[in-house]
Amino acid sequence: MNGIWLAALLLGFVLGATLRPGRVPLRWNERLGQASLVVLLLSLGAQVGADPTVWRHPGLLAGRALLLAWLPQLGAVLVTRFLVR
Amino acid sequence: MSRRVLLATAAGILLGLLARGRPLAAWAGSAESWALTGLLFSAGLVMGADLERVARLLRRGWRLLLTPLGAALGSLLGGLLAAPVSGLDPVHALAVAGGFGWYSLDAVMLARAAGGQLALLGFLANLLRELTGLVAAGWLVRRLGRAAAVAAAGATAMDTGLAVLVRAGGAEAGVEGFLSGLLLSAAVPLLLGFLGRWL
Repeated sequence: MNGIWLAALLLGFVLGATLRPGRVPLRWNERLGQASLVVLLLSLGAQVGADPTVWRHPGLLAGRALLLAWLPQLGAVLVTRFLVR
Repeated sequence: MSRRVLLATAAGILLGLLARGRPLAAWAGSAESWALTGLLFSAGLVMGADLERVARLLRRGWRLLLTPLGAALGSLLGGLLAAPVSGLDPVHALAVAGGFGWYSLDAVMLARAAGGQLALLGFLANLLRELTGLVAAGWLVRRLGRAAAVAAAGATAMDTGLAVLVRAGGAEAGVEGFLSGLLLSAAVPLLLGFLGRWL
């Protein structure tokens, strides 16, 4: 994590912890979070779209994405169940 | 999963396709850094504002930590198993699985460390993980207990998955989900920063 990102996370945390509950601008914060996420996804999408290597094998990409979504999820469920029991 | 997320991603991909060959990367990289700064500030504020709840949860003892620990270990194990099947380098598969469902951060960090192709894979895999966790939460609570549903949700158990977990498993699942999601979210940048050396 780069220093500015860590500083932003810590600054937010300290502000959230020190402001009194009613004074935390949660509504504005939610808007900031949503706007940041939209810009982030837009820029991420733009980098993906501009990269020619991404579009060479779309079927392979989808298959890999499914495997890397479901096997870690299955692993998480099984190991957690084993530990919790 | 909001429609806005899908629209923003699709619009970005379209923009990238249209602007191919132009100096887009510098602009996108800069916008991405600013957006991530805002996102992390926002996440920090929410966590700081919930400090009391976090402290109260921690007093319930070390057993609460078994769920995020199992979720993290199981996810990484699943990623390692997926590597030979998908023909990926094990470190790449670990870096994708190590997003624990936090698709935006995983993809951004992978884009910086290994380029667009792995970033897209990280984004899609973690997005699918989040969607599956939301859809399967009720079934998992009924069949395997609330810890299984919390583990399946991964890092998203503290935000997008929280309401679904509470509905499926009651307040206890919500408490467990919040703590697990918080710890897994904190682990993602550290883990990816560590794995980034070998990407």
